[in-house]
Amino acid sequence: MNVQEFSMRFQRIRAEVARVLVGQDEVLEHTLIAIMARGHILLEGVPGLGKTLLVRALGQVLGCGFKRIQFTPDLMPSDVSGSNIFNQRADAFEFRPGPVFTQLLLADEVNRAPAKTQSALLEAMQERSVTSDGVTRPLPLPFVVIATQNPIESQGTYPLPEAQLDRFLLKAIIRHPSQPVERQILENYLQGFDAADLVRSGLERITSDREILEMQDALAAVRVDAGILDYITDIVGRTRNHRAIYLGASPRASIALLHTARARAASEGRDYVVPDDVKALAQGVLRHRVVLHPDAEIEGATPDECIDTILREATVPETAAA
Amino acid sequence: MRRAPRRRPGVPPHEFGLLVLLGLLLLGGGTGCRSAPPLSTKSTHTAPAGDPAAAILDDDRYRFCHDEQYLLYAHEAPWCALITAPDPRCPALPAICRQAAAGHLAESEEAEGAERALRTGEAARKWWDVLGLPALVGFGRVLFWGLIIAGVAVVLHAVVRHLRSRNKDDQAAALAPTVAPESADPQAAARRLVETDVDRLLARAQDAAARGDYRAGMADAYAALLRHLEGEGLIRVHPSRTNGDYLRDLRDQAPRGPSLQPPVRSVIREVERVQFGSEEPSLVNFRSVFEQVVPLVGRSLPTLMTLALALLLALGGVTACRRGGFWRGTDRDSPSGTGAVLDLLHKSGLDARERLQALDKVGDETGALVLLPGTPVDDPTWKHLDAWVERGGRLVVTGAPPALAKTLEVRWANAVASVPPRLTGAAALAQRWGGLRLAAPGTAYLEPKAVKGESVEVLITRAGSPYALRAIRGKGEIWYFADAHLFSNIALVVEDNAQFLTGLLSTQRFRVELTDVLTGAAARTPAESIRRGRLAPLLLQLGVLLVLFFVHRGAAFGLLRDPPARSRRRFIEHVQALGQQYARARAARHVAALYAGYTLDRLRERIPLGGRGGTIALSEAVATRLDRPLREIAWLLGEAHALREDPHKLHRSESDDLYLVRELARLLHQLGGTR
Repeated sequence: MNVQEFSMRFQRIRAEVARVLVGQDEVLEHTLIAIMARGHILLEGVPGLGKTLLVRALGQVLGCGFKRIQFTPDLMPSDVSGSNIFNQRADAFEFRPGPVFTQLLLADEVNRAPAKTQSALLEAMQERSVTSDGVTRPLPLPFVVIATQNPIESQGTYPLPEAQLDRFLLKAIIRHPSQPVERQILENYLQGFDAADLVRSGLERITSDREILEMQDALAAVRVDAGILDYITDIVGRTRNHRAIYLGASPRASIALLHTARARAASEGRDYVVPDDVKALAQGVLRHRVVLHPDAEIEGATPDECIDTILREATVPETAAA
Repeated sequence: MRRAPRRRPGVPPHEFGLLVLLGLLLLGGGTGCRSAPPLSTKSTHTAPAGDPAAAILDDDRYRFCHDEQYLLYAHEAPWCALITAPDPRCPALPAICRQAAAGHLAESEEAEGAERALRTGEAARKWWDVLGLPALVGFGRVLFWGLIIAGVAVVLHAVVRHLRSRNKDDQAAALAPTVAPESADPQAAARRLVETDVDRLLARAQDAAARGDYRAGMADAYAALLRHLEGEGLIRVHPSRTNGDYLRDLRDQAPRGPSLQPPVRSVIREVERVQFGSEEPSLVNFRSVFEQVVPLVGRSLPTLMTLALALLLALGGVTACRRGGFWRGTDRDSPSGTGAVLDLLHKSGLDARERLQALDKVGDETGALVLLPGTPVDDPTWKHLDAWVERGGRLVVTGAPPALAKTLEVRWANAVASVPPRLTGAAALAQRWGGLRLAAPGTAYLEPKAVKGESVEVLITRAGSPYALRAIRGKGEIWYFADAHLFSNIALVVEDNAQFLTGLLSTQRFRVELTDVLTGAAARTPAESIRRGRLAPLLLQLGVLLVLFFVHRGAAFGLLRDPPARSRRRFIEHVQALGQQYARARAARHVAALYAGYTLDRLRERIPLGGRGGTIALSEAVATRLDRPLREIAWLLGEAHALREDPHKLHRSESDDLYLVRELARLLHQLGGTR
């Protein structure tokens, strides 16, 4: 698959999902980019903004297996990964796979479960396999975790540890829709749309799991200029020297920025990355990978503001202004 | 990093060409009319002593008396018949007349119009009527031309300064230290010049392409596009901004920005394909980008603007000239003007002036009024003038007012054959002013009408025909003249015309006013002025603009004043405010009780008593620490203790309470303050 075919298919998927998910273009784009870049995405937003709808619609359009785990405070790790159950008839333990054995996994309200359960996802996300009682079982590919979480200020939440946050390629913020978008949502419902019944809404299956894997492989053909690499390392490096940031982004962040930039370039039909790809994805890639100083947080600083400052200072390669 | 192209210091070739073009056009505009020649041919003479006319005409303003190259109009040439010998009052006039006799006359349509007006009384057309320029006099004219000249000077200064600054930039670029292309030296990078001039960037792009460096050429061409858009205020260029940022800037800059998005995006695509993609830069790529950029940056615009400016200036130069091609000075100072006449009257002690106000406003402060040809007079105005004459005014009518042909008691006519210019004074005239010799060219004469009950007196004749008549009206008189020749500047050179004019217009009221076609042209009200100037639509637009502006910005109602500044108060100010509140409430006892308790607590905290917690033990410790009498300290602390236990038990005055507070504060201060 070449880049042009990639772009066409990407845009078709995007348009199809956008039929039911109105006004969340950036979130949708970032989610698709994360999928194409073989990553996982964390969606943050208050309830009712369409996070679950996005994942369900994606499952239908991408033609991938889809499962959902509703994270609760009493959710056990085995409820995620599966467990060995004694079969009296066979007089042996047999493994009953958990919901993680799917291609598109919606981990809903992931920060409502305690850290132990959250970490059960860790191996699955990183290794794309699950180990139980010494036996490692691979997960079906493509495997993408789309986790949603409520803002940490909400009651009854357990903040995700940095190590787990770093596993997410992107973190997207879902914000309230504008008034015209909200009106469009209402009109869709008036015309018979039902979020609980996506089959009736006529969502078309655009790809298959095999084609998704082909699309992921196609990104290898996207060229990255040396200037782009400098730009990425400059941005990520600045997160480690920013006065308001206590813990800067890791090299894994640089890699994530590189992969996502390639996916974005391909989605626009380019076989090369431009600085705009990096800049457009920097906040999504970095916002959950930096830890602010407590005093900066008290002063009201946010990761997005800090990254924005960094982007205003980093010099774009091949710019006409310098 | 690329090497800055070297260029020889100096004005760039295309700018030099524009400068030359501008200069040529300006020169052409300037030479469209010959400038006034220096008075190299000025006749040297000495004005006759005691002759006021000679003293006035000695002024260089009256070029016809000093410049032998001066050209007369055709309607002024007849005066030459009276200039037979050099006259010390106007020495250059004989030579000028010889030129006129040889056929060297100034050509002017308006001059012919003026001649026609002299003959027929028709309104003379002024040169500013032809040009459409405002007919201003005196200070107004000076101000008008001063503003024009100042405006042109400012524009020229700005142009020259701009060109000079660009020239300096060129030199700076040429002399700038060059940096190796791949230099990683930060100091060298800091010295690098970021080119922002669109023209130079385009030139640099072409230079780079000519060298075969198409990558640099495309980058420079694209930089030129960005700098142009930045200059237009459509985008903000910054090292941290990407091409996508610039496209988003354009999207937000309606209405021009969105229309520019597609072509700019196309250029960006091509440039990025080379900069970040795998496409090799080539001449085809460069040409494609360059040909897209050039129309977008609109490089032909400055040239067109320069040409338009030059054309405007050239046209201005041409239209500022008289049509005859020879600058004769102002019409007021020409032979047929009235400048010298007014000066003569001034010199004679009269308050002489040109009248711009309407004639129906002539008041009794005016002694004499001269109606020159072209003065607009209608029946109501004439009635007003008639009444003014009845009250003692002296009205001089020169030429026939067309609207009053039936009203006046005289008729104007022209002799078929030429008549001698010599004027003959009647006996009454000789009786009044002595034996004056008068002369004026022309063929016009007057015919008195037979009006019942009114009589006119012939005072001056020419070839036997009446030239000047006088009619007595009440306390005043009306003088009718066959033409206005006697009231022109050149008339002062001939015979005793100057003395006659002075005598004719001298009255007890001193004010003399000359009227012409402009009299009454001044608007009476501001509204009329707006109507005449056709400014109503403009003012309406301005008003609408103001309304829109205030609607947009919001109008201020009421007196504008700064909002009260919110500043933090010092702690002591809060304490003082609280104390004042207590004082107003006359709560000295309450304060004393609170402070007594506070003091005791602080003292107990600071002085360890070793298990003895009584007031006596505390007093002993404090007295020892401060080396003060125990009795005094014990009384203070005892009072404090009693006050804290029951503030209202003690019968104390307010001053006693305040004294106690003051003493306790002193005690606390001696033991380390309130902290």
